[in-house]
Amino acid sequence: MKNPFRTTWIVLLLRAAAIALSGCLAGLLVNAARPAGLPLVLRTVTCPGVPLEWWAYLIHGQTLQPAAALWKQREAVFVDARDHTDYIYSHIPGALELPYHDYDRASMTIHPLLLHDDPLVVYGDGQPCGLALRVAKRLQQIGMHKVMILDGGFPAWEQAGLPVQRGHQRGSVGVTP
Amino acid sequence: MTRTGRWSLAWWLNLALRLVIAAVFLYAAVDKIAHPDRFADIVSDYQLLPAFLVNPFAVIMPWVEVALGVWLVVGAWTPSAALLASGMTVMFMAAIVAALAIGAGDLHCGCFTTSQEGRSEAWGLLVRDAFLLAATVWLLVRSYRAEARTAMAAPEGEADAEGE
Repeated sequence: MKNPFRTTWIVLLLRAAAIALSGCLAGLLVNAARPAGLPLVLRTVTCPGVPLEWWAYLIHGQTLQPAAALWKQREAVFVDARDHTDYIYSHIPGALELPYHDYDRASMTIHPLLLHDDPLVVYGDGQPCGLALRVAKRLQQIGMHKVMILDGGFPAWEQAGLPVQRGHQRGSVGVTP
Repeated sequence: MTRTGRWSLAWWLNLALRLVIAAVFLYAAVDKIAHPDRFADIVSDYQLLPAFLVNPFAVIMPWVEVALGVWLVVGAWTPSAALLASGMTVMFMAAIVAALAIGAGDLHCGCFTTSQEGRSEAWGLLVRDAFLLAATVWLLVRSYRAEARTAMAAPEGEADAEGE
C-alpha cells in the first residue's frame, strides 16, 4: 500500500503554487486593465509607485533658481512634505506643512485651501523618489495639475543660502496673480 | 457521524478557522488593490526589494492574498491554501524583523491599510503575525491529516479526495 502522505505532499505543493499563480495572473491582468496601473518595468518612470499617466503630468526637475524666482514673486504655493519636526526646525518661508507621514490628517486642513490651478512646488528631504514625489502624487490625485518637485529638496535650498524660516509660523496660501 | 466527519465539532472548528483566516487575507488585500501606488511606497520603505521589483510585487501580492482567501472560503485545496497562507505570514514576519534590523522599528506595515495613519510598533506586528501563523499552521496540519486519512480510506484510484 502506498504512503498517502508522500503523494499528498507533492499535490499540496503543486496546488499551493497554482493558487499563487492564479493570484499573480489576476494581479497582472487587473493592473494592465486599470487606467492608472503601475509600470512593471522602470524605464520612463524611474521611481516605483508612480503610474505612467501621473508621471507624465508631474513637472520634474524644478531647479533651484527658477523655484526661488517663483517663491520671490509668489507665483507658486510651496509645500513641505517632510515630517512635522523638520518643518518646525526650518522650512521655506510661507511653505505649507503637508507631511507625507501624516498626510491623511494634514490634508484635511490643506486640501480645501488649494485651488486646482495653483502652481505647487513640493519639496522634501532631497531624496530621489522620496517624500516630495509621494506628496506630489497625492496632490495630483485630488486634481492639482501644476505640481512641481524641487530638485534637491530643502537641503539644496538651504545650502544655496536662500531664505528659511524657523519655528511654528505656518505657511500662507495664495498665489499672486 | 464520525468524530472527524462532516458536521462534527472538528469540522465546524476547521470551517471557522478557514473563514477567519480567509477574512484576514481578503480584508488585507482590499486597500492594497485600491491603492497600488501607495502600497508600492510602503514596500519601498521596507528597503528589502530592489526598486525594479517593487511595482511587480505591489501589483501581484494583494491578488495572491485574494486568491488564497477565495480558496479558503470555497473550501477547496484547503491544505494548500493554508500552506500558502503560512508561507506568506512567515514572509511578513521576516520583513518586519528585517525592518527592525535596519532600525526602522516604528514603521507603517502596510498590512491592512495603505494610509500613513496608525504606525505600529514592529514588536506588536510580530505578535499579531505570530497568532496568524499559529492559526494557518494549525489549519494546515488539521486539513492535511484529514485529506491523508480520506486518501487512505478511499479505494485505490479514488485517493484524490478534497480536504474537509
